[in-house]
Amino acid sequence: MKKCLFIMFFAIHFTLIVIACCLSAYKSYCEFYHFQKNTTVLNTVEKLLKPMPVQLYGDISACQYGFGFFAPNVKSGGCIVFENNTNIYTPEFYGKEAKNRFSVFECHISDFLLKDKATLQKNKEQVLYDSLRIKYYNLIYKAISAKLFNQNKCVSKQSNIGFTLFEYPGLAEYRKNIRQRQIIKLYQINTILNN
Amino acid sequence: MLQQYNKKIHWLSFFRVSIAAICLFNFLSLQPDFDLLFGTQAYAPADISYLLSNKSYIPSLVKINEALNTVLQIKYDSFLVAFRIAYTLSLISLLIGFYSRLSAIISLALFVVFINSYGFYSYGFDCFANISLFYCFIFPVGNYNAIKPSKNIEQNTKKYLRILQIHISIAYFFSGFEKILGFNWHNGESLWKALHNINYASGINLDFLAGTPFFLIMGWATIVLEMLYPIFMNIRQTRKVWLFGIIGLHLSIAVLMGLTFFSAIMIILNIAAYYIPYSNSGFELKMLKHFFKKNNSLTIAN
Repeated sequence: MKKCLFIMFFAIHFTLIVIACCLSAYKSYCEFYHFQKNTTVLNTVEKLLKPMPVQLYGDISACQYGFGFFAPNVKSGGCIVFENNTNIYTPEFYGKEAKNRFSVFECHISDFLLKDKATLQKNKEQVLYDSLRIKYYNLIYKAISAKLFNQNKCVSKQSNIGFTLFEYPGLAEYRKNIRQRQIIKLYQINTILNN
Repeated sequence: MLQQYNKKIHWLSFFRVSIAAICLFNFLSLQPDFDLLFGTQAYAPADISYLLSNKSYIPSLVKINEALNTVLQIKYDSFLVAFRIAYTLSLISLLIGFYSRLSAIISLALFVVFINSYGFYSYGFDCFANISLFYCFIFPVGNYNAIKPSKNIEQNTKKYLRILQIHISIAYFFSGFEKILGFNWHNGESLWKALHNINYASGINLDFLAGTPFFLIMGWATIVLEMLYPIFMNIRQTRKVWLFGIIGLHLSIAVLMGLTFFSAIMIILNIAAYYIPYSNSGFELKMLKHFFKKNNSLTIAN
C-alpha cells in the first residue's frame, strides 16, 4: 500500500513536470517563430495546471518550471541606463551574484515594454491589462531613476532612464570583419526629479 | 556490506550537505547588496516591486509583514533581518543534519516565500535550489552523517536515487530539446551570442576561434550532451564519459559566463545522482577499509 502510494505520488509528480516542460517548449517555440498558438490545446493543458492544489504544489516542488535555458534563442544583453546632465549611471552592486540577478530583473521588465505593440493590441481582452502593466513598469523605471538620482547626487532636474541594448556582432558578421558593439536605446522615459 | 554502506552514506549525505552549503553560499553572497535588491531602499523598492510576483497562493514577504503589522509593529527592513537570520540558521541546521527533515521544510518554506516575493530576480539556480530543497524534505537525508540522525533508518534508498535521476534526466532532455528548436543553435550563433552577452561577460575572449568551426561544434555538443543525457547517463559503460562532458559543460558556463552558482548546483546534482552511488573508491570507504583492517574484526568484501 505504502509502495503503491509512493509510486502514484511520483507518477503524478513527473507527469506534471513533463506537462510543464512541454508547455514551456511549445510557448517559447511559438513566440520565437511568431506562430499562432493553438489556443484549444493550450487552454486544455493550462486548465490541468490551474487548480489551486496543483499550482501550490508546483510552486513548492518547482515542478511548474520549464528547463529551456538560453533556448530556443539567446536574448541580447542590455541594461537600464540613467542619464542626467550628460552623465550616465547604471545600478551598481558589490557582488557578481547581485549583478546577475538584477540583469534578470532588467530583462524581465524591459521584455514586456519592448514587445511588438501590434501583438499586444491583437488580443483585445489584454489591452487594459497591458496598458496598466506598461504604467506599472514605468513606475518601476521612475523608482530606479529616483534612487540613482539621489545616490549620485545629481543636480539637473531633467533626466531620462531607459533600456539600452549592447549588441555584439553575430558570428557571421564578425567573420566579415564587423567588430563594433552596437549600442541601441530601445526604451526611454523622461523624468523630472528634485533632491 | 561495506559497498552497501558506501552507497547509502555517500549520495544522501553528500546531497544534503552540498545543497545546504551551496544555498547558504549563494544567500551569503547576496548579503552586501541585500538592501539594494530587496529592502525598502532598493533600486526597485519592495512595496512597488512585490506586485511583479503574481503567484497568488504563496504569500510574499511584504504580505506577511503587513499581516504581522496588525499585531506587532515591525518595519519591513527589520522583518527582512529576521528572515535573513532564520533562513541562514535553517540552512546551517540542514547542513549539519540537525533535525534534517524539519530543517529542510523550514528552509524550503522560507526559500519558496523569498522566491515568490522576488521572482523577478530569480534564474536557473533558484529553480534547481527549489527542486533540491524539496527533495531534501522528501528524501531521508537525515539518516546518514547527521548530527542528529533519524531514529528509523530507511534501508532502501534506491527509489529516492531513481527519483533524482529521473528528474535530472527530464531537465537535461528538455533543455537540449528547446535548444534544438532554435535555428541559431544549429550554426553556433547562439553560443557565440551567449558568450558575448554583456550581462554574462567574464573577460575571457574566445574571438580568435571565430574563424574555426569551434562554436558550431560546441553548440551541437551542448545539444547532444543534454538531449541524450537520459540514455547515456543510465548506461554503465558510457556514464563516466557523459558525466565528464556534462561537468565540463557546467565548468565552461561558470568560467566563460560567470554563472558560478548555477554551474555549482548542477555539478552537485550530477555527482549526487550519477557519480557517488556508482563509485567504489570513495574516501569514506577507504577510511572504513583502513579501520576494519586495523581492527581485524570484519572481512572486507570488495
